[in-house]
Amino acid sequence: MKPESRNRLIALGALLVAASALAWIAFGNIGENLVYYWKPGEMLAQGEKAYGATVRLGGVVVPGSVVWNAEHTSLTFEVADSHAPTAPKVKVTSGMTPPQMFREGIGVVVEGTFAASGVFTTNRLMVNHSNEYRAPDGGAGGDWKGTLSQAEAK
Amino acid sequence: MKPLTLSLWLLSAVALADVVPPPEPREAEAPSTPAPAPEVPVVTHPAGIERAGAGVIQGGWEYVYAAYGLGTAGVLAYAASLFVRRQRPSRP
Amino acid sequence: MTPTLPLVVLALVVAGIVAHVTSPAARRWVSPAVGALGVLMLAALWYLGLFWAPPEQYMSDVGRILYVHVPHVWMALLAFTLNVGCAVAYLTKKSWVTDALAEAAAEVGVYFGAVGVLMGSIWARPTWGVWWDWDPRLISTTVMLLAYVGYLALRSFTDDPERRATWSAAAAILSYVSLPIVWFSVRWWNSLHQVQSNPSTVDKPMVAVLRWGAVTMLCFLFVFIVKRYELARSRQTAALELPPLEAPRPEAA
Repeated sequence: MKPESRNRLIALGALLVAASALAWIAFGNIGENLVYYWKPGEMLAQGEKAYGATVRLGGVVVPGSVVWNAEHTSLTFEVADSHAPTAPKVKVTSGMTPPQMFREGIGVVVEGTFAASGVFTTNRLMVNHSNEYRAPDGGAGGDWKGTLSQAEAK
Repeated sequence: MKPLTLSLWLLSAVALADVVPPPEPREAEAPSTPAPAPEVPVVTHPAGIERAGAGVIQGGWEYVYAAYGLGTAGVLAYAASLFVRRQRPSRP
Repeated sequence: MTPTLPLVVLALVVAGIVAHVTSPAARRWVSPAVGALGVLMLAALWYLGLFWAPPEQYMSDVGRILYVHVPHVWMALLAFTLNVGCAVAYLTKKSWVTDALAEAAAEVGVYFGAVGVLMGSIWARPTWGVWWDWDPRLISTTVMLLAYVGYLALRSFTDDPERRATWSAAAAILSYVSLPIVWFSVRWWNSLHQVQSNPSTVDKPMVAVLRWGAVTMLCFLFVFIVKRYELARSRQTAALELPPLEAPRPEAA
């Protein structure tokens, strides 16, 4: 075989392998084995299997559910699948200081264990940022410096 | 006489202490600096916990400068590595 | 980001590289000029990103890392796309130029990708609360960078230029599988990393500075690739001119 046609054969073979690998990852069920976190509904659906093991739970902090204990050393809140009021939710208790962006309604991922009591205990609380980047007044221009100093005064 | 007067004076002073307003500060002492605010006892929490819940990051410039510095240092370092690895055009 | 914009940008870079490769006149002034422009734009990016752009409503000033982190990763993806283009071109029609360009693009891509990931880690600490977590975007990006480090290692371990060019081109095509996985990882799987932004989710001044940052890094991408290409070319010619280490001996009787 001429080197030229051999090279084209190699190209074809590599492209085929690459395309099938990509298709397998994109459309195969690898996603089900590659779970970074469960949403509350998914975790509750696991039933007893979810108890005790170290897992990650992800969702949004239910507005109005954030409670500090008296000494301000631990924090409980509820994590829901989504912002829908009927979305499944799980109560979380955290012993760590949350990142500064932690607030009601924000997306969080917590790593810890789920107990039969229905409470998820975590010592690793991460918050995520949405793909939105806005100036503090919610638009271009404006007095963003004033808004910021108000936020700092709080 | 003297001890009696003294004790009466003391007793009335104690009794009046709750009623009589404190004397006005004399004009001569003004302008006086306001008394320092009573110290609020410092409650120690895990770092930053009292600010938690605001949902807005405070400060953090050190991270910003670290990222920009890394980018600039990276450009300089990679450019330097290309310069160091360059091949002299004149070959024996 | 409109889907056609990356392709336009890629075409611009390719046009610049083609001009550099084919025209000795262009070679003399294009890369110094683009490099100088990059340095000026980088200085301006410090001002625009750190002071001119507004802070983000929740991330405040930490959000300014956007303007350097995202352009770096974009440049890595562009460089790897250039790499796979050169690999396919080499296998279709043998040429030392595309082989050298593929090597240059891969190394520059690893540089931009590694710096971009480090910047992301710096950004993650104040926002997510952790330096690192094995979320699908971070796993796939790490795998992508390792694949290209492996590609470069394969190139440096193979001595015969012809064999190196052929087999590294095949490796380049396989490595490129990681790129769509990185891009879509935030949509295919639950992840800590947010999905791609677009101009409707980013305020106008921030989009402007982000684009400024992207063009700045594009200047460096171009200069780095053509300079690294020249290095690869001179190494190639040196290797091709050298006689084989041991001349094939006639079989002893």
